[in-house]
Amino acid sequence: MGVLNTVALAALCAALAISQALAGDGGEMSDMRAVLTVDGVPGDPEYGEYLVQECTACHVADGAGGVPPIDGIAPGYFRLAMIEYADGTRENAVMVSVARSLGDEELAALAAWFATQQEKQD
Amino acid sequence: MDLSRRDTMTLAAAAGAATLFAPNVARAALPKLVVVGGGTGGATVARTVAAAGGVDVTLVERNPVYMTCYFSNLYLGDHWDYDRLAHNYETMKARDGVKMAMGNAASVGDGRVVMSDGTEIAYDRAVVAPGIDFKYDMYEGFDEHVAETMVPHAYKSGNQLLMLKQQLMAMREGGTVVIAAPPNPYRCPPGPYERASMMANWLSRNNPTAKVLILDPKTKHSKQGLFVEGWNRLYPGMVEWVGGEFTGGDFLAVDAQARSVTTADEEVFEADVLNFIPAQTAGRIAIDSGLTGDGDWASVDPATLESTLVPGVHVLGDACANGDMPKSGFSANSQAKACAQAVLAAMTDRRAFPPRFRNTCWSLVGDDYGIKVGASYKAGDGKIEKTEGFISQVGEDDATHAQTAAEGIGWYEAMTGEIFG
Repeated sequence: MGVLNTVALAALCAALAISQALAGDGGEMSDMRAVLTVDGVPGDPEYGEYLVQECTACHVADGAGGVPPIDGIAPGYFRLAMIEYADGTRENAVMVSVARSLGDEELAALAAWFATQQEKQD
Repeated sequence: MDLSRRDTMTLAAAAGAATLFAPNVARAALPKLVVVGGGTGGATVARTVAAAGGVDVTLVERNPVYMTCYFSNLYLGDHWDYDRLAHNYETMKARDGVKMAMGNAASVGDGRVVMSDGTEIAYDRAVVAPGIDFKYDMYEGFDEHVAETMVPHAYKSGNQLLMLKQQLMAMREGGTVVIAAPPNPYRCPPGPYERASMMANWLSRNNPTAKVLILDPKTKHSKQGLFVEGWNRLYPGMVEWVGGEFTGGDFLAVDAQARSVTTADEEVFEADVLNFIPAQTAGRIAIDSGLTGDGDWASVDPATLESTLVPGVHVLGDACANGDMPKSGFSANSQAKACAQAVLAAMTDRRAFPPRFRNTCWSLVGDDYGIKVGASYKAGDGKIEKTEGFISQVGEDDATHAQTAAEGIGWYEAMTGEIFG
């Protein structure tokens, strides 16, 4: 139970940080760095570029059929969605399995890669 | 994911570089990857490595059009047109720079792919993804000619799938379709049962007193409770499954003229339409190249998909002994992406990342009625190991079944679009 509580607390903290980042209330830049960082180490976008191939097996830009698009997704929203799938707040079984298979390093790497895609769009 | 834009930029950059430097010198410097087999696994690894750049990629394939086996049951149920299963290599050539070598490869090894006409293609590293072949020798009265002309297995898309649909449509009123399922391991574990579902779906509209009988060498099958729930609800009394306890666990013979099959218990089942799906092996070239050793499937390193028997040759998709993963299009795509980054790390200065593996199998049981099973996997000790799985639940509501069906189609369009454009 101790481990579970720790995990839940960490998830809550991360969710709060991300919510603030999404809200853009003054501390946006520092909070966004938190989204893209694990223990002070930035996520590796090159690793993210490899990892995202797992996403693109099902997700396309125009969101064909029953799978929504993730093209241009905000890194903070991505992190929050993964937390919500991992803790069961969001229920799709495929995505729950995906989210639970991603560690902090993988989440930061993917967030960093999504950030590079956003920069290209801006 | 705007991969297409990124790839276009990469291509544009490559084109720019080619005008600055003598192109034949630049090309000669690139290491050569040759991929044999343009199915889902082979095509994925070819386009992924080519798009990354720094490697000269040639894809050897005998057919100009690839028909997916996955979702071919939807054609049997009149849910999809046959053409919707078709994909070609034009986008892969133009978008990713994959070179196509059209023809039949006979063997791979010692740095060269030998074609059936005797020509050779040199490689620095090779990927072999030939899919499956069939153990015709196990059954009296059944061979490739019988399958092509009278009793289709239809377990690769193509003429046999068309023939099976025609036989279904021409069947007498109240007739019986017999599907003889294969023993483990085989391509697409839910495939025979989705096929029974889609045939029943078509029959329920067009020949409602007909029956679908599944004879199985196995004592249980993929998503069994979910399929049975769907059959009872959607096609009551139409679909019957006979398990290994009653078939003796194997089949002995097929009589193509009588359209009958003899079980290991020497019981004869007669059909109006017989779909006999034989036991399977890796595709012929994997066997002929010594990649399968004494077994039916190619033994590979679980992290890189490199053969444990022939160095420098990777085997992926249905043809490899893929540990806990099922043989599926999704699995082949996942293995190909892990293999691509291992190949890039071996052939260029790119870094290698920990391989990741995933599978999901969606099956359509009826109109807007989907079920799914899937899992995460990792490169374990000597094999790909399952880490966590999930499966649809018995008793799900209509909305969930409809969402699952739509999700499966979304996956098909996304994955085939990513590979073939």
